[in-house]
Amino acid sequence: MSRHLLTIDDLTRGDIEDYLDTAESLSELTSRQIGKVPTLRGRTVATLFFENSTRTRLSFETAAQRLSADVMTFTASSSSVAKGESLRDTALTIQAMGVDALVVRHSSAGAPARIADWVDVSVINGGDGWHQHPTQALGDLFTLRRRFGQIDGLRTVIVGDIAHSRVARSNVAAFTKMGATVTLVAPHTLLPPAVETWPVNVSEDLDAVLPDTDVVYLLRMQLERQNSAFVPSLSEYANRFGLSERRAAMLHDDAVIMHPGPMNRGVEIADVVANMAEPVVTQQVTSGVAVRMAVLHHLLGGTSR
Amino acid sequence: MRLLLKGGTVVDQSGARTVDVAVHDGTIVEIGERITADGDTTVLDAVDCIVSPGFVDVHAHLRQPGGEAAETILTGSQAAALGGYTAVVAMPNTQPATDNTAIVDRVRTLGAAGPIDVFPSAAITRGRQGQELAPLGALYNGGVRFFTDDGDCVASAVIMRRALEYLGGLKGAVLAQHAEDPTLVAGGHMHEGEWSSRLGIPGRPAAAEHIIIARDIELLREFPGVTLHFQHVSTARSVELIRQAKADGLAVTAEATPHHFTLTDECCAGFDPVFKVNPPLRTDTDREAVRLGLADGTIDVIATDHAPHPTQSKDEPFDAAPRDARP
Repeated sequence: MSRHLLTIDDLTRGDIEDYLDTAESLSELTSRQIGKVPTLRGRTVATLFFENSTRTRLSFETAAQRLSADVMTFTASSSSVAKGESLRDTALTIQAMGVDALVVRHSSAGAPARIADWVDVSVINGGDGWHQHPTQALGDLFTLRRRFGQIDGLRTVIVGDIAHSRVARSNVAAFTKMGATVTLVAPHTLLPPAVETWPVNVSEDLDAVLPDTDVVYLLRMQLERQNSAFVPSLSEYANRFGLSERRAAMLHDDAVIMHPGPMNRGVEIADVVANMAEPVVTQQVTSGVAVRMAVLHHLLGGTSR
Repeated sequence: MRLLLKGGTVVDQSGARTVDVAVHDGTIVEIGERITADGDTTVLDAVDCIVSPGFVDVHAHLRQPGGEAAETILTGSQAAALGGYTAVVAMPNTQPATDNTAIVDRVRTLGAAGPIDVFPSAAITRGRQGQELAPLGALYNGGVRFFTDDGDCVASAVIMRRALEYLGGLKGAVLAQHAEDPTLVAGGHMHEGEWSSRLGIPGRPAAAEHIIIARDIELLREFPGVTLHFQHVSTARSVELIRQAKADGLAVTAEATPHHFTLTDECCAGFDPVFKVNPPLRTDTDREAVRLGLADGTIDVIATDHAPHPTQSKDEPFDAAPRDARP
């Protein structure tokens, strides 16, 4: 396995299973041993967040701390970026302080990959533009495996703004690699270009696909999509693609509703349905910490691989 | 060693004419009509060939004035000479834009100090803003023959119409278009397609180029007179549109760049902004069509679109790095 985690595309099914197994044992260990194991004592993990995301940053930092690593936090607003330093110089400066891994979040697709070309330490993609959010995908697989026992054969539906979503890109890759089927449901304006080259089915009819669905994965719908004519209005979007109470009732009893958060209640998900989904959505957050522990553990040499 | 090139079209500073060229030991000794060969001369039939002292690049960004951190007219000329070029058309997207005779004269003076011929082109619109015509007549009288807002498309149909009509009265003027509809490519950084989709990089759809080429061809059909030149043609459909326009007898010419007929959008997979160019690298189908267009004469000329940027500008993510970030 690479010393970096940049995209789900770089992982084999076996790599993913290793991550999920490790996440399972580490989350069990940390829940027993007063929240901490000494695996990464003396190692330093730096979070480089060029784009704000308190949830993801806290999740990585919690994961690192539970493995007893030291954590260094870098946020763009308080840093040299505001002074015009290049991405390369920023990355090399942080590396020079003596870190073992860089967790990079950036609004530009490929920024973590570029940094990985320049530094000698492990780079973990914490979300880059519309490209990838691999630890989100691993966490979602972890949630699903706990819920269903296995991913193989699961019928998943991802609804919403696929085109602009790093979560959609990494989850499509992760779900299909693990043997699930994926159907994308969105207006054509919010489907990615050349969607026929993706390993998915496509539909515009949420009502038609819901009865045969095990997992409905809703994406956050942003107001700016209305302003740039991707949809006529958020309310039309909610009517056609929102998971209403009526639509949620079409799901079979064991089906689950997932959302990467933060939810827009009343847009992609009705308020009542969001309440129903809460246990799973909360589990997604917990799973995120577990798989991030597994990633740090693997990449920082917790085991010899 | 004596060499005689017979019957070629010689193109140099004084224009184009059909003459013979005699070369002795690597030096041109005579240019004239019906030169006779003596016994030990190798004679080459150059009929239907262009004979020139070197390559001509109709599309280079020499960056001066304003972009001297990236390139100067002297360094660009030296680089061109090393590559075998003896004449280069300098693009007008300087700072300020080359949209008046004072800057044209400055570019020409700086060019005269270098090892090759530098021909300044000039902007079609004032400040390359696409709103009002630059002083095209004065520029023409000052020796400019090549007009372009390159770097930006002349997006307004009515401005393009006026430019076609106005320059149509000036013999030998070439109106060159950077064909990309700005509303369709806004925010985009590579060809929109399978690879942009996979990489999550905002795309620049091929239709942005076709729309402008098709529109401008129709404008030329209504308002002929000038030669309409399409710069850096990059797609299969563009080649087809130009092929048809030529078949219709319109005065259309086109260029293609080496990167568009050798590379594809797959090159962007590693997020290296060295592959970020405008128009973007396209698909394999497009690359093949551009090659066929070159082979059958639909595309008239290979142009480099040499467009240097400072090295440090590549120390950024793909979308933040400048376009044409070639070394």
